[in-house]
Amino acid sequence: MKKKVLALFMTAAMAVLAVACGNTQSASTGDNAGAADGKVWVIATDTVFKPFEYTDDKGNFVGIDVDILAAVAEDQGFKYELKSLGWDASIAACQAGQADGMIAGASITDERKASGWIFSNGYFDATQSMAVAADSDIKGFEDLAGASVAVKTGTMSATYAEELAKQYNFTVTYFEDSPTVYQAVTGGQVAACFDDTPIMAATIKDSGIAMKLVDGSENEPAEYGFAVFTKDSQELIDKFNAGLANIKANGKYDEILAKYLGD
Amino acid sequence: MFRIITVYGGMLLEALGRTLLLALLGLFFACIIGLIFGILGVIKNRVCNVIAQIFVDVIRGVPMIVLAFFVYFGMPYFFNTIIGGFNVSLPALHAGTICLALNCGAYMAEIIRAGILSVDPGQMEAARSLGLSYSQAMRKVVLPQAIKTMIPTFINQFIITLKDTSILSVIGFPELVNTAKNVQANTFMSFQTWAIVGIMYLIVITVLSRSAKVVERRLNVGRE
Amino acid sequence: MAANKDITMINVEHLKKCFGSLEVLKDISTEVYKGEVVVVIGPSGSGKSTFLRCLNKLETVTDGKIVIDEKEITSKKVDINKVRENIGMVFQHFNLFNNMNIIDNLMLAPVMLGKCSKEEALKRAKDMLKKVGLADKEKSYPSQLSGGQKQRVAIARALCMNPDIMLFDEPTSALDPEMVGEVLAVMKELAAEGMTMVIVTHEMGFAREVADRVIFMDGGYIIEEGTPQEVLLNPKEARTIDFLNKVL
Repeated sequence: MKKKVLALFMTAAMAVLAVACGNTQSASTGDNAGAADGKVWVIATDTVFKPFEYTDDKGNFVGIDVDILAAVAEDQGFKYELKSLGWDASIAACQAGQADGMIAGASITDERKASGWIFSNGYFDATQSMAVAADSDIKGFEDLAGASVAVKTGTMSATYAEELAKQYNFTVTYFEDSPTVYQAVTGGQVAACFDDTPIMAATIKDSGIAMKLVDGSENEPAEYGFAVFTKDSQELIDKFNAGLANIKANGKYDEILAKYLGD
Repeated sequence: MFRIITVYGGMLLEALGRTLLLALLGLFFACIIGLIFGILGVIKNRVCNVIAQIFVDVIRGVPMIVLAFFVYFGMPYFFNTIIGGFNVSLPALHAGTICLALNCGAYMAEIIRAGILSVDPGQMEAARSLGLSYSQAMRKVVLPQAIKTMIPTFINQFIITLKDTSILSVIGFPELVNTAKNVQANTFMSFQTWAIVGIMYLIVITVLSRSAKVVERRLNVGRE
Repeated sequence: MAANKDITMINVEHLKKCFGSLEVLKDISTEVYKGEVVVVIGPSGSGKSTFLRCLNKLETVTDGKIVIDEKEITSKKVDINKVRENIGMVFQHFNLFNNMNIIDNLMLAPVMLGKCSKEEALKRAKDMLKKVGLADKEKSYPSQLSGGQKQRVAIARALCMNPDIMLFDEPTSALDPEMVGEVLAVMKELAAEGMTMVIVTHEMGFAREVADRVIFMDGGYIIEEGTPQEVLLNPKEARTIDFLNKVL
């Protein structure tokens, strides 16, 4: 009897494991399979960073990053495996050589380059904005004095908020992902949040979350880049840059952006 | 690695300070909660026993990360929106303290309950036979002996709690792990950051457990 | 010895005690007078220890009535803690407080219950230790004493509350044979001073020498009671005779 229970438990555990492993997105571009040198590049990405990468309501892992990578790979004829590891783990995986590169809405910054990272050309001009609860009276940064604002750890919006914090005398609280940031705004734990403008716009539109963007809170655009850690992966950067130029030229790039951001 | 220390060292030390503050606050209230529910678990009263058991089962059955989200986001929502009329707002430090105190308190309750039960019932009977009340006997005779047997488990629980503070990074409390994630994201230097953070935890916990051992030895002097 | 039949210290009427469905005491009625030394004997499982523990309510009573020094302890209105202050109890396994040294063991209850000042309690504790011959042990811890010494300290601890009644629950059963004598000597002295005592024991010699009355219990009943002469030397009941044949 005990053995049977144990066997049942093991089966259940293995089933759960199998499902969990399914999180890894295996994608090789069909047409070009077997082309090039046959190397499969391992690319790491975040779990939820809407609309750049997320799991849609049908259970498919989709997003701007996902589609751009697919389009570039198809154009350049390389095979890759996209692993949805999460933000922190993606960084670590590239450093450890477990992944060859990462595409996760990572902004191109000098400090990151100084640590030895190599970025592709920018594939997206991101701006950051402030959002507040739908019924909030906050109209601008001046209204934030003494309040607390939420940001996602390590993002450009965090940097943006940190710069403003000194000037307008508010504090910055760091969360691990965007959903938690928005939860803190709508739940009243913080007065406002800073995040990427397209992400917030898409979230407010799609999910109807009780939040609104604050006019005039947008900053200067900064670029997102595809990133690798070792010189060995320079080849990948070159291919990405070439492919990016091609899909921008043939309209595929605009098609992807329109799909996720609307007009 | 050197650059992280020079640029972010101060920030990480401040974060370590907040980690220790959170751990100490959490432990303090955990001791009180543990004592209350531990004693509720041993007194001869079915209702109290059941209450203590439910508390321990519920808290132990919920991972702390879930508890953290519930306390930080769920409680204000519950009071302000579902019940209405309240304006509850919990700063992350308060919410974190509540989480640690509840979580650690449940384990402490079990440790204290087991500790009390390990004391020979004859000790309680002898104290009662002299005319001491239950609580007097508990305070003066049973608890001091129970605590002595509990000390090693306590130290263990203290260390676990100190490490558990890292879970509260998810509610945005700027403790060591939360801050380290910022450093990592700014520098994109993953291993270096985590190595420094790991060493910081290791030093603090080693110092704590060593001094706890000294205290334990002192307490044992003159007895047995 | 000096039993004063005018003053009843303990009055037990139709005492009944069950543990779950097990009836340990079925119907016990007896009286103990001031200054009387009563020894309770009987085979194991006869209920004699339970009977003793009912007298200070260490066991809750299922049914019946117990009156101690005119206070009905089976009534809910009586503060049992107050009554217990007046009843010393000595246990088979001593039950000294392991977390305290000897002098603190003796002083805890008198000081905590406000019986006297700390100085008076200390003085009385020292006197009692001297009385049981352990004046030099006041700073020792229980674990440093022999069984016989522990039991003498336990008696001294009970005496520090200045009780009118002393209960002894097999005080020598856990001792090595060579230590039994020193404990019995202290008990004899107490009896000679006129203390009201109820003693559960297997020491027949002691019972013969010191007891005013012997109670023989079996199966939850008192089978026979009387002077040591009557019960131990000329038992009338078959079960008493049977028991005495086995132990003597």
